[in-house]
This record gives sequence, C-alpha cells and structure tokens, in this order.
Amino acid sequence: MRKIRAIAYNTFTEGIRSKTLYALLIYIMLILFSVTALVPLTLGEHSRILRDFGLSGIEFLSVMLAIVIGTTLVYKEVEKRTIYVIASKPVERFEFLLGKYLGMELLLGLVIFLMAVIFTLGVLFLDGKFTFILLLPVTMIFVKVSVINIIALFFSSLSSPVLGAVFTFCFYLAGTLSRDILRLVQRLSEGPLKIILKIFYYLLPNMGNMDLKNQAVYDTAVLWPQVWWALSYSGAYILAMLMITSLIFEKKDFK
Amino acid sequence: MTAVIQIKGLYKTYQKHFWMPRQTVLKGLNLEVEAGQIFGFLGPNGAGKTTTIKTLMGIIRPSAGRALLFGKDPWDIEPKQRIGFLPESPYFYDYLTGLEFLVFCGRLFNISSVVLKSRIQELLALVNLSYAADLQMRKYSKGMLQRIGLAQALINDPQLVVLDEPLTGLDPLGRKEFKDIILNLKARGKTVFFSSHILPDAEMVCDAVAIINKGKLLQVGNLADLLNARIKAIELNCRNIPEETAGKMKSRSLSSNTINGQWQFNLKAEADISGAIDLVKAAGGDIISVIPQKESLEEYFSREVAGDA
Ligand SMILES: Nc1ncnc2c1ncn2[C@@H]1O[C@H](COP(=O)(O)OP(=O)(O)OP(=O)(O)O)[C@@H](O)[C@H]1O
Ligand SMILES: [Mg+2]
Repeated sequence: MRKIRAIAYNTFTEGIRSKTLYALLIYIMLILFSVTALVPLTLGEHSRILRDFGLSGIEFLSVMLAIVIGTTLVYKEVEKRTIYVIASKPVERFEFLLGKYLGMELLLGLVIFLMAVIFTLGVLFLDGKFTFILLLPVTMIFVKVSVINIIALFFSSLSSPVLGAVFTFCFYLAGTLSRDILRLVQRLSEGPLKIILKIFYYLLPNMGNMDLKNQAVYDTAVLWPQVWWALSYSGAYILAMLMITSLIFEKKDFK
Repeated sequence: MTAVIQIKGLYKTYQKHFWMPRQTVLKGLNLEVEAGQIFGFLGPNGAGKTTTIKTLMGIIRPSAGRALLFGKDPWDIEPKQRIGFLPESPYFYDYLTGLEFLVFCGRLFNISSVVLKSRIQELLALVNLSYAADLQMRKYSKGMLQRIGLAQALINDPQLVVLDEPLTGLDPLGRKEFKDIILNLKARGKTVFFSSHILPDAEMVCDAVAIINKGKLLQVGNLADLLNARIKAIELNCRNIPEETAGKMKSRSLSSNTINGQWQFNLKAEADISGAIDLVKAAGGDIISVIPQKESLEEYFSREVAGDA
C-alpha cells in the first residue's frame, strides 16, 4: 500500500508542478471572467446561466485535463526512461498502474474541488444563497472524469499519447451519447451492424446517467436511484478497465 | 556458492516496425557472476550490454533463454528487494529534488521513515551531493544525475549492485570516488556488476570481466588470468654495468634502451630472468627492478574485439 501511495503522491506532485496544469487553470479563469462579464446582459436568467456554464465548464475542463495529462502519464515514464527506476525496484506493475491512476485522481479531485469553490462563490454572489445539493452534479462530474481517466490510462498504455487522446475523447463523446446509441440500436433491423453497435454500446462508458446538470439548472428533484446506479456502474467500469489495462501492461517491454 | 547472476542462452530480438525484419541483438548469451565479485561487463557500442542489463532488471523480456537474479526470475519482485540499479545516462523525475527522489525510492522498498532519513543523509554524503539535496533535478548536471543515480541504487543496502556505465559523465575526481565506492561495496561482501567503456578504470577495480560483441560472449574470466596469459615481455632495469655486459644483455633481449647510465632490457620470457640477473651481478651491476609487462585490459579488449570482426 505504501508503494502505491508513494507512486500516487509522486504523480500528483508531477501534476502540481507542471506547467500544463497552470495553463489550464488560467484558461478556466479567463472563461469564468468572460461568463461573469456576460451575465448582466441577460437579466433574470443569470443564475441559471451561471449554473449551466459553470457546470459545463467544470466538466469540460476536467475532462480535458484527464485526457491531456492522463494519456501522457505512463507514456512519459517509458519515454523518458524514468520507469527504469521503478521497474528495477520491488513494485508490481499493477501497483505502478494503480499508483499512477490514483495520483491522477488526486490531481483531478483537487482541480474539481477548486473549481467547485469558485462555482459556489459565483452562485452565492448571484443568488444570495447556496443549496448544497448543487454540489451533487459536481461530484458526479468527478465520477465521470474518473471513468475518463481510466480510459486515458488504458489507451495510453496501448498506443501513443496523441492516438490515446483521440480515442479517449471519442469514447467520452460516444459515452455521453450512449442513450442515443442505444435508441439507434433498437431501431436497426437485425444484422451485423446491429451486433457491432450493440457490442460498442456495452463497451462504452454509459455516462448519460452520470449527468445531473439539468437537475441543478432547473432545480428539479434529484433522482437518487439514478445516482446510486451511476456510482456502482462507474466503480465496476473502472475496476474492469484497471484489470484489463494491467493485464496488457504485465507483458509489456519498457523499450 | 550459487551465482548471483545467471544468464542462460539469452536471446533478444527487436522489430522496429512489423514490416521490417527482426534484428537479433542478443544471440544466446551465457554468463554467471559469483557473489562477492566486482564484475566488469565490457563490449563495444551496440554489443548488447544495456539490453542484457535491462533483461536482468525485468525491464524487458527475453525472446528466448533466461536471466536470473539469485536464481529467480527478475520479473518477480522478490529478488528485486536485494538489488540496486543505476541505468545508463540516467534521467529522473526532473520536478523532484534529489532528496524527494531518494525518499520516493526508499518508499518503494517500504523502508521506514526513521531508517530512510538517516540512510539518505549517509548516501548524499557518500556521493558528495548533500549540497544539492534540495535542488530540483532539472537543474542537475550530468555528473550530478549520475551521483544521485548511484545513491538511489544503494537506498536498500542491496546485495547486488548493477551499474550501466557508472563512470561516464564523471570528472576524474568523481571517477575515483565511484571506484572507491565500488571497492568498498565489495569489501562489505556485496557483488557489483557494471558495464563500462573506461577500461583502465575497469582494470583497476574488476575481479573478473566478460567481453561481449554483437550479442555473443567473447571472453569471460578472472582479470588476472586473462591478462597474465599474455605477458608481452619482462622489463629488467639495472645500473652500473660495463659496455660488454650491456652488449651481451642486448642479444638476450627483445629490445633495450638506456638513460643516464640506467639500462632497460625487455626479456622475452620468464625463463630468461635468472640468467640475465646472474649476468648483471657477475659484472658488478645493480638490479633495480624486474617488471612483467602484462597486456593492459585495453589492449586485450581491442585484440579480442578486432579478432571477432
Ligand atoms: N528498443 C530497441 N529497439 C530496437 N533496437 C534496439 C532497442 N534497444 C537496443 N536496440 C539495438 O540493440 C543493439 C544493442 O544495444 P545496447 O543498448 O544493448 O548496446 P550497448 O552494448 O549497451 O551499447 P553502448 O555501449 O553504446 O551503450 C543496438 O544495435 C541497438 O540498436
Ligand atoms: Mg549501453
């Protein structure tokens, strides 16, 4: 456990000390400022717009972070040969992967937390009050990003970061549209295309259910069964992907 | 005593792209390293030294054959508890300070914080890097990386230390320090296995060497045995001999020269020594020294590798 923790902490440190992170954070700030600058123009609707923009912004930026940093995590260690040190020490490859994953989770958690704080302050400023249920969609964004993170790790241990990023982004988009894909599958007549699409549907992370943004924007009641379902689904998905990735990784030559 | 390192019929092939032919880098390498030795692993560029070492460290898998550490597969983590490794032209996490990096390495061995703290101080002092402990490694010079690399290789007080070209990138003082560290490891009963291109240095510290070329073993053995097998000449230095004796000596020698009344004769074989000494003494001369002229490791290496071309 201490080994995994050391690797996770090291990964987190790398993220915290990297320029990529700060470039992205500055980007977030710029977007938030331009949004708040827009707000006075749309009277009455401003709180709703902030919630919509804010949550979408948090999701988009943390997904970007997961893809940009996540797909380079393992690749960089192999490419720069820093992995030689870990590989020659008594560390299972599974422990290495898990450590990398958890370190990235820590980083994503911190960034989402910081953005949530800014978001909360914004809502508080506009509405004069803040209901904690607004943080539920933020938590679900973290869950979603955790899934993206494992997909990024999977693809980056298979291919190069660029290809990995492209695949991960496609998975993210398709995962968000997973309900539509299901609808499409149901409408198709029997045939190879239907089977392929169906398999694809089951491989995709089903992220439609992880989205609680509408409830937050329109103040509708939270569907708790949906939340529990999304949580256990994501947990299972992450575990399965972690196992597949470490199986691939187990056999790999580090150049 | 069992061998610390055993390499049996090791093959490694690489394929850059699937449409390109496979390149065989290691071609049935066999090697054994006994405990307590300083073992030099020599070979020209591209001979396959680093590839062999990477296989030993569980970084890459053999295509065929086996590489064993303490009789165990380096793909297991158990033998790795007892080894230390310094990679070739090391590069470490450049966002960490030297100290943070050593702490990280120690944690990978589950070393307790108290032990780790004092060991890190010792190691930093050993490699002369205490002054740069809190500097980020991106600001380290090549030699400093080499030094921190040696420190991390020793963090677990390993039984076997594997060093891939530990002396490159070091200044002359650094090379001396590293050689002393290697000798000191041996004095403490450790085994050191290292590759090197700096043959005079290797000759100074090694008990045994292996020479590989093009993925195959050319020679292996005790350094003394390998080099003594070819004594080039025996150098006899003497003084105060008359012209006539000098002439007789010349005829018995391969070559000779004289400086300020001191003569140097290069005798062909050991059998010639006593006769030559008698001759000098009979003429009232003084013997200064008798030195066998062994082949240097460098010459031996060049000859072996050239012969394999
Ligand atoms: N990842 C790789 N892919 C393809 N070929 C490789 C790879 N690594 C090494 N080689 C090839 O294997 C051969 C041996 O390389 P290796 O690094 O083991 O040599 P070396 O003896 O350590 O040389 P040097 O003294 O220059 O360090 C070289 O011809 C090299 O091109
Ligand atoms: Mg090499």
